[in-house]
Amino acid sequence: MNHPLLDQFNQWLHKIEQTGSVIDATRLNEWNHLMDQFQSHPEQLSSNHAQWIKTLAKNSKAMFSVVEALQDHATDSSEQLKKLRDELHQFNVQLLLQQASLPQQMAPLMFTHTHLSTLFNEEQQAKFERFKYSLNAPQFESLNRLIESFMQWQKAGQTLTEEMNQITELATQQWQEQFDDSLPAKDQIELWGTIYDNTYQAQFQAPSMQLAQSGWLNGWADLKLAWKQLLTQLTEQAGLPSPDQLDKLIEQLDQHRRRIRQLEKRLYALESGADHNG
Amino acid sequence: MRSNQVQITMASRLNSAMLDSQKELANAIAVLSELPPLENSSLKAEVVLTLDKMRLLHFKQSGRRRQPPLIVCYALVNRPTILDLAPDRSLIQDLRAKGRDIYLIDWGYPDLCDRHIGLDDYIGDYLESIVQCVLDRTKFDQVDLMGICQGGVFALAYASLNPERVRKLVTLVTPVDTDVEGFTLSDMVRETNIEQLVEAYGNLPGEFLNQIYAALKPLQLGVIKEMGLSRSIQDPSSAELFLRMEEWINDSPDLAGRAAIEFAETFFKGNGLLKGSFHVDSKAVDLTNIRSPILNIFGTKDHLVPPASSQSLKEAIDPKTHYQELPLPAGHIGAFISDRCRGKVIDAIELHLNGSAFKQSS
Repeated sequence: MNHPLLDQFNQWLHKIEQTGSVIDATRLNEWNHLMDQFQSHPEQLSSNHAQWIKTLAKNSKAMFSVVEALQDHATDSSEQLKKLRDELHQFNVQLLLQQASLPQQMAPLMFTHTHLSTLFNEEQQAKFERFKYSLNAPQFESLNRLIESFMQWQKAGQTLTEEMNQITELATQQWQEQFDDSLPAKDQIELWGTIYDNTYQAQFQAPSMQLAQSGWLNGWADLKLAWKQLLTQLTEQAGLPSPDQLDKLIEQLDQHRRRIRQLEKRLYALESGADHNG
Repeated sequence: MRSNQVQITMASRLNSAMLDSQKELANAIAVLSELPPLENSSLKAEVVLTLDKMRLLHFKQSGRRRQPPLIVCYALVNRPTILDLAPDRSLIQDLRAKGRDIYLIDWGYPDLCDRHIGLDDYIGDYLESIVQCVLDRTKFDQVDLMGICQGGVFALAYASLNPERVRKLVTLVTPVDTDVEGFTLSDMVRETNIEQLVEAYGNLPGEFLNQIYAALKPLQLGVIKEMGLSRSIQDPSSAELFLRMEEWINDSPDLAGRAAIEFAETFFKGNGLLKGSFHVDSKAVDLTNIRSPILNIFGTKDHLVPPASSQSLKEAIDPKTHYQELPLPAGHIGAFISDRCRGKVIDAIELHLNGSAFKQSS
C-alpha cells in the first residue's frame, strides 16, 4: 500500500540523519507541516485507526514544543530547570482541569496564566466578587451560591497546585542528584517519571496533600450541586421537569424495582418448594 | 558543577530523544496503516442469568471431567473484558483450557436509574442469586469463587456470610486493609466527601474515576505514557495489544451512587473488612467465618492496591483456614494478564482448586 504522507515523513527523517541529527528552522517547518497533515487527514494513512494517527501526531507536536521550550534561550541549567518547572506546572493545571467536566465552560476561567507566580486569573476572580455583591436580591440566591462555590473551588485548586508544585521541586532536586550521563535519553525521561511519581506518592502521605486533593474534589462537588440547584430553579420557572423531580422519579423507580425483586424471590421460593414437594 | 553537567547533556540528549521518537513515530504510523480493524472477540459466551443490568456469562468447559463451577467476580469500576482481552491473552480461556466450567459476572453499565443500588444488592442479592443459579444448573453443592480487585472484596464478604456455599476461594489483587502505608487511593478517598459527589453526579462517572486512577501516577500514566505512545506500537502484535488495552482502560462504567458511598464509607474510610463494620443485609462480614481454602494472588509492584493491603488477609482469617499466597513481580493488571505472570497464575489457581499447594518460584 502506498502512503505518500508516510513516504514524505521517511524522506524527512533521512535528511535529518544525513545532517547529523540537527533539526534546523527549515526542517522544523517541514516537520510541522507534516504533523499538521497527519492530524488533519489521518484517514489517508489508516482508515481503521485514524484517531490514533491523529493522537500520535498531536503528542509528537506537544513533545516537540516542550523540548523547544526547554532549549529556547536556555543558557544555563537554572533557566532550563525553570522551564521544566513551568512545563510541569502547566501539566498539573491540565491534569486538574481534566478532572473537571461540567460546567466545563467555566473551567478555563480559572487558569488563564500558567506562570507559577500568577496561578489564577485574579482579574476574573475580582470580577466574580463584584458580580456576587451586586446580586443581593433573593431571586439570585442560587446564582450567588454558584459564584461562591466557583470561587471556593478556585481556592481549592490553588492550594492543590501549590502542593503539586512542591512535588515538582522535590522531584527536580532528586532527578538532578540521580542524573546519569551514561543513560540513553528515553531512560532519562523514564527515570524522571519514576522519581516524580514516587515523590508524588510519598507526598500523598502528608495530611496537607490529602486535604488539598480532597478539598479540590469536595469543592468540585459543591460547585456541581450549586449548578444543579440553579438548574432546578430555572427549569421549575420554565415549567420543565427539574433535576430534583428527576431524582424523585428515579427513587420511585427503585422502590418498584425492589418490590418486583421481592416478588421474584418469593416466586422462586414457592417454585423450589413445589419442586421439593413434587 | 553537577547542575552544569545536567545543562550540557540535557540539550543534546533531548535533541537525540526527538530524533529517536520521530523514527518510532514513522514506524508506528506504518504499523497502524496496515493494521485491520480489531475484532471484538471478548466475552463471547452464553448469558444464563440477567438481573437488572447484570449478566452472568457461561464459558462452557472444554474437557469432559466434571469439575465444580468457578464463578469469577470482577470489580464494578472496570469491565471484565480484561479477563478475555484477546484469544491469546485471556485468563478465562486459559482456565477454560484446563477444563474449568466458568461463570463470569458482567455487572454492566449502571445508569441514573441504578443510583440507589448498593452493596446489599450487589452482594446480598445479585451474587447470592448468581451462586444459586449456578448451583441449580450444575447440581453441585458448592461453587469455587474467584474475586478480582473490588470483586475480591465482594467474594470475601460472600464467603464469610455463606461459608457452606464456597468450596475454594481465590482473591486476585484484592485490597483488604485500607490503613496500610502507601495506599494512595485510600488516602484520597479518606478526606473526600463521596456522598456530596454522588449527590452532585447521581452515579460516580467512570471517566471521573479514570482521572482519579491516572492521578495516582500522574507523570507515568500521563506525559511519559503519551511520549512513549509510538514505542507501544512497534509491530502488529504490540499494536493490537496496546489498542485493546486502551479500549479497556477507557471503557469504564459509572459506579452506582449508593454502592460508591457505601464502599467508600465502610470499606475505605472504616477499614470495614478488618474492623467488622462491613455489613451486607445488616449482617456483619467477619472474615474469620471463611472456611474455604484461600489462594491470595497480588502484584508486588501494584500502585493501586499495595501488596501489604492484600497480604493482610492472612492475619484477618481464622488461623485454621488454609491460606496460601502468590506474590508476583507485577502491577495491578500485569499480575494476571501479562505473559510473564499469567501462566503462574493459572498454574497456582489450578493447583489450589485441585487441592494442592503450589511451589513458589523466586
